Amino acid sequence: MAGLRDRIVELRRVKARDLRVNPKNWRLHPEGQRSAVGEMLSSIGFVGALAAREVDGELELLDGHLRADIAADSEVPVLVLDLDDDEADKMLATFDPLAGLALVDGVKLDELLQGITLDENAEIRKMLTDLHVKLVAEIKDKPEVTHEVEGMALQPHEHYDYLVVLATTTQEWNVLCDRLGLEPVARRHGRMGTCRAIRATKLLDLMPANEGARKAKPVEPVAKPPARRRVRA
Amino acid sequence: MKPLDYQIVVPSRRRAHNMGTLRLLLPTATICVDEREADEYRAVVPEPQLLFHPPMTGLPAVMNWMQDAIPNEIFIEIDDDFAGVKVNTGSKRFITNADEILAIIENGARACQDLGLTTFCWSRTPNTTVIHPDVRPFVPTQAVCAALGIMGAARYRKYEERFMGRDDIDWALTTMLHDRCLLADIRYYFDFGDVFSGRGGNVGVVTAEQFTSATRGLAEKWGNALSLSSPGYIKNRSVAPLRLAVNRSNKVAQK
Repeated sequence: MAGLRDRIVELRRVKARDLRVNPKNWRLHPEGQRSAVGEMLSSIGFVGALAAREVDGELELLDGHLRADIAADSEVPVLVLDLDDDEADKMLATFDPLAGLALVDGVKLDELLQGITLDENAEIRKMLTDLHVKLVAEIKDKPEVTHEVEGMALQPHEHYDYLVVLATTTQEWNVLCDRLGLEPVARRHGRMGTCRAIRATKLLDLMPANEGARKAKPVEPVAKPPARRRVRA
Repeated sequence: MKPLDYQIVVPSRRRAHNMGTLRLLLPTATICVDEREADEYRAVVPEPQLLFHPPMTGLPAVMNWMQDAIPNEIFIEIDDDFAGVKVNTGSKRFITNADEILAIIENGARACQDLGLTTFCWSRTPNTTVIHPDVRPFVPTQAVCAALGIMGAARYRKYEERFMGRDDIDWALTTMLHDRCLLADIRYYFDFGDVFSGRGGNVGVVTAEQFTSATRGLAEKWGNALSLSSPGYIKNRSVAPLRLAVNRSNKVAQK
């Protein structure tokens, strides 16, 4: 875009209390915002000028009411603008909301936040958290990530539950491995136990089909029954 | 009993300084390095333990190359900043004894083989208040990265190189789709120091743009099998949140 007009007449440094408050200013500044802006002003200082225009020999604010209020007796940088009444009203109505239309590049924001400490002030911390939550919600709401991949969903017949059998003696372990048709694995280290696993289908093949069959085929007594624990995945 | 036919492989990049520790923890591991870094690694690792791959970019490409180069039935990959194993249950002790670490790896491989599964791994967090390993020591769905074992049909599967930096998520979801579940023994946490700290072997390889592009590509590929919401317990907001939303728990059985 070419041929844009420069409406800044000069940069002037004036005492904040000498600036006239714009009677049409519609923005309200809660205590949290005042605290956060005050924190940034005291830690860094002014990095952007206020904006005002000359009305009846005085500078009337268009942007920077809160900063001027916080600065009180200090000198503040003010950009003096050459605007008529209509333009001044338009700017007053749109200056902050237009900045608020910007979107967030989450990766760049996170990269930026990695290198700085901004958590001294509760309001600033909240602002950044809200920004991140909003970003996550935006990503989550994107329609392209909600489609279902065919075959991925859990089918009605699918179960991934398991039964853990803990052998606490060598005898239990050897008997279990023998009966389940698993060859015992030699221990590699004294403190670390060994582990075998068996599919339910194979285990069911090895087990009697019903109570009658279990009674008909007595199980040899084991010195101490293995502790069993049912855990679901 | 037939011994396990496995090989532990450690892909490494610019971490020759960590090889002393790594060889104490994993004395039988093969260290796989870009041939451009051969001199640095030859100084700290005996030649028979080294495997040089041609110049290539990104872990997925290296993983694919290693899977082809290693002939063993079971392929076990462990990252080069490995520092030890934390026990998530009971004593919560930190294991640095090579024999014990090998026993944990072999137990995982044996259980995976017994069950006829293709992928096994361990916990990705030592935060036991989140994963509850005392109640649920094994889980059938988990992102597979940093320390994992591959066998069976998955030995012929390839990593998608476009998902650089997020290849682990894609691998886990592909396993979910093809093999239905994997074996994650969350009683153990393989410790790699600070993850996503900006000091890893991927630094300088995966750019922020590639990472973002991989994240978007994954979201498009996997749809609602991925969750983009950040788990409440994660305080580090350095990366866009991404985790598996695949459910292999049976809600009816839990009632």
